[in-house]
Amino acid sequence: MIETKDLVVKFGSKTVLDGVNFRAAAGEIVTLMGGSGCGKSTLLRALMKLINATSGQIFIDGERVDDLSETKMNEVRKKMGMVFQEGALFDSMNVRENVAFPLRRHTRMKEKEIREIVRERLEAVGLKGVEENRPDQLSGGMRRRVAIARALALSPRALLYDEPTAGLDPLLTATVSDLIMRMRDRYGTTSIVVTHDIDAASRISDRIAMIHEGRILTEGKLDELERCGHPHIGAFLNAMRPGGAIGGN
Amino acid sequence: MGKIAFHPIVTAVEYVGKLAGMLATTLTYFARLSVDFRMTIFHMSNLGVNSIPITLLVVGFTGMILSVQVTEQAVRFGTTQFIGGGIAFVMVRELAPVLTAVVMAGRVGSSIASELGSMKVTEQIDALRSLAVNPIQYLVAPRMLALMIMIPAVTVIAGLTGIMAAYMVAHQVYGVNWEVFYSYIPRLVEQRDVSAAMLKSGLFAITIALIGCVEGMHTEGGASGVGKATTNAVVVSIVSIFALNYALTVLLF
Ligand SMILES: Nc1ncnc2c1ncn2[C@@H]1O[C@H](COP(=O)(O)OP(=O)(O)O)[C@@H](O)[C@H]1O
Ligand SMILES: [Mg+2]
Repeated sequence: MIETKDLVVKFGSKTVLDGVNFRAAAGEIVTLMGGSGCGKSTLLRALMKLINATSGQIFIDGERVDDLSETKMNEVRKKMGMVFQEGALFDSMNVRENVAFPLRRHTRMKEKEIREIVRERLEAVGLKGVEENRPDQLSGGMRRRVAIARALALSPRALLYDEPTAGLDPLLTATVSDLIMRMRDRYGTTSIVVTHDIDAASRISDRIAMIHEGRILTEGKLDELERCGHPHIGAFLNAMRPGGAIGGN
Repeated sequence: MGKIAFHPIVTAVEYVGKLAGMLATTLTYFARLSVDFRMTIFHMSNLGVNSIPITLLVVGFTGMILSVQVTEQAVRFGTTQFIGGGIAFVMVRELAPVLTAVVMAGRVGSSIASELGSMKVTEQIDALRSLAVNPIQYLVAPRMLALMIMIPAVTVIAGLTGIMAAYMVAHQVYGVNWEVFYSYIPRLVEQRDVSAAMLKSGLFAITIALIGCVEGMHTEGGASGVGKATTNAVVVSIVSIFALNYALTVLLF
């Protein structure tokens, strides 16, 4: 469903991604892990073509997209959804207008149908009765969930989540993790999830991909990663563990 | 060393490139008539109508001060018949378009830059693109169109207000009556002066919208970046308005 070949992204003279070969099959949940600033967000943004790749190729649904024009890419983007780190909800709109926005822009649905879909998407992320609220009236966890509902509005085939659980308490982290799995079960959505939460990652994902120094260092199940014996990965996983330097309490 | 010396030039060229690119893209949306009508109306009222009072105050007071200076001399030299025509002439050609544009740059250019800037730093612009919506079509085109309609319209009202304010002073303080004040206006202010003023203020509108949008959409660095973008938008627009005004005055008149 999503594939990159030797993807390179540079900002000026700084090489952030240096030959990433990455694949996510249809319906798969893949977690991206790696230290801060290693280029996880950059990879997601490159997949959406929010930034241009310096070289290499990106395929979505078998179609090569890295050389598409903005107009053509918009057709591809309608098949994808992205959940930004802080939600990136439109703060001039209330929750209903946020979730309805892609439907209003890209479909000819009647107001009644739109309301129904908005209600259904919000219910899917476990929200009710917040339609009239403005984003700044919501908690961080609610904003994240509204962002997921908005990304789901057009029933995308793939969803990219940028640290959907960062800064959430353990209960909300579990809620969002469950949500990502339910989206896959309910809509068959391919998911790429950036997270630092190793327990969530091992629970929800079919595969974990570790990024280091601009490349995918290794990928596989958590136990495969643990067994691979690479010193950097061992150190990283240990630090993420409960009791470790980065990990939860 | 050479790199440092050329840096400001490179930056300036890049900046002009950004403006030109955004203008070109916006114009293609105008040409294809794919500008959101409802958003345009919203911005006309939000950005335009709400700026009318402050613009009228600024241009009105300028008309009054001009009248004080001019009328006193005119009464002294017995040339009161030229007061109205003279004031209307500079009001139409220069003061109404320029002062309106400067007030708009401060009020509207800054608000565009800060609104789009805060959308940029909170990834809302990226969110728009990820939802397959072109931010120039959705955010820039309606704002620019709204200003292209509203700034010339406000300029007309401001110009009339400035002239009437000048007459009020001439009449109240120096006893100049309307017939005398009006007598030379039609002879000094021609149709083409009015058209040129409209063209000027339309171009000022494009300048203000474009600079506000470029500053906003290229904002980086969180809340302080938004502050910088807002200040830049005002400073760059005001300087551009005066520079453009000089060029246009040489070309048009
Ligand atoms: N638009 C940009 N311009 C310049 N540098 C950038 C830009 N976006 C990201 N970077 C740099 O790229 C690196 C990777 O960033 P990012 O992908 O956000 O990391 P993370 O893995 O934490 O999500 C960082 O060093 C960051 O400073
Ligand atoms: Mg990141």
